[in-house]
Amino acid sequence: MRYNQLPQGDELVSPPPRNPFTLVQHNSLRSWDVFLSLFGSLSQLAITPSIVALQDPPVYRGKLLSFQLAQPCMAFYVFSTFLSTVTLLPKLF
Amino acid sequence: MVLDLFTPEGFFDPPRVGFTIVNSYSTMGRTINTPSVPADLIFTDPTGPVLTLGDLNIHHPTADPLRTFKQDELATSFPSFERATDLGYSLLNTARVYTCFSMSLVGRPGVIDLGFACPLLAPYFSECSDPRLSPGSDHIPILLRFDAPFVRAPPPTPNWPLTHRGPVDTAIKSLGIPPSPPPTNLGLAWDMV
Repeated sequence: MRYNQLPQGDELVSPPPRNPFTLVQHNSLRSWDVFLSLFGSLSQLAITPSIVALQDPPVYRGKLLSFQLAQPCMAFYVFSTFLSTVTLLPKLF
Repeated sequence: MVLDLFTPEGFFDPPRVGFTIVNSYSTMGRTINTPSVPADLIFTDPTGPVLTLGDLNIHHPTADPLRTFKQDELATSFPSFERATDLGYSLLNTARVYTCFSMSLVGRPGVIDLGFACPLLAPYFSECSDPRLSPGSDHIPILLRFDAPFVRAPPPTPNWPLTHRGPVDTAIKSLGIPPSPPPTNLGLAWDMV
């Protein structure tokens, strides 16, 4: 392809189709065993969920990992690939 | 907790670039009939696609029609479902598919991990399923799936490995950056732009 020509045919590549938006929600009972088992078993799914919404997530010393607020009751975990396509704004109520 | 998601292409409704997910965990409040998270907090008047989900700890005939309900269960759940219905939210759970199995001998299974979609989101709802994961909780992970999340497919891009870049690279290498004007002539240079 010349630099001053528009790409055509094989010179164009389409990105892979995006998966349907899937989300998993779960109450993890503030248990690391449940948390690790849940995320470990997500690999069994045909489509990796874009977001995991947890209730009663496990905490370390009263805080979520990488989170500075005390004792959360809910948490969102976002798949890294999905994170690169969206802008997120978490809000607490 | 609320998560607002934005993408320039929009998620579900082309003019609206946002998508809101409300994640809530409601337990017993000050009295047995009062949930800790009030219904008007988790079910808001939607201005865009809104997905409300969470462990609401309420039992309602819509989600579990064959259950024998106690009066306090109905008293606790009806305000939330009434609020959701008034605002047009649709329950996404499959009725009678239990989401919680009590580990005590006296507890009964129930449908308490609920998902609701507002009218702008409900047409895109595809399925609510149990992905058969067993992480060890007495709750069952719920998988919600929505179709057509991105209305427009991303445009194709040039296939760079097949692109003949020789002339471009040569042109770029030969590109000379003109010297910047002296500070005294900076205003004049801007006027000439």
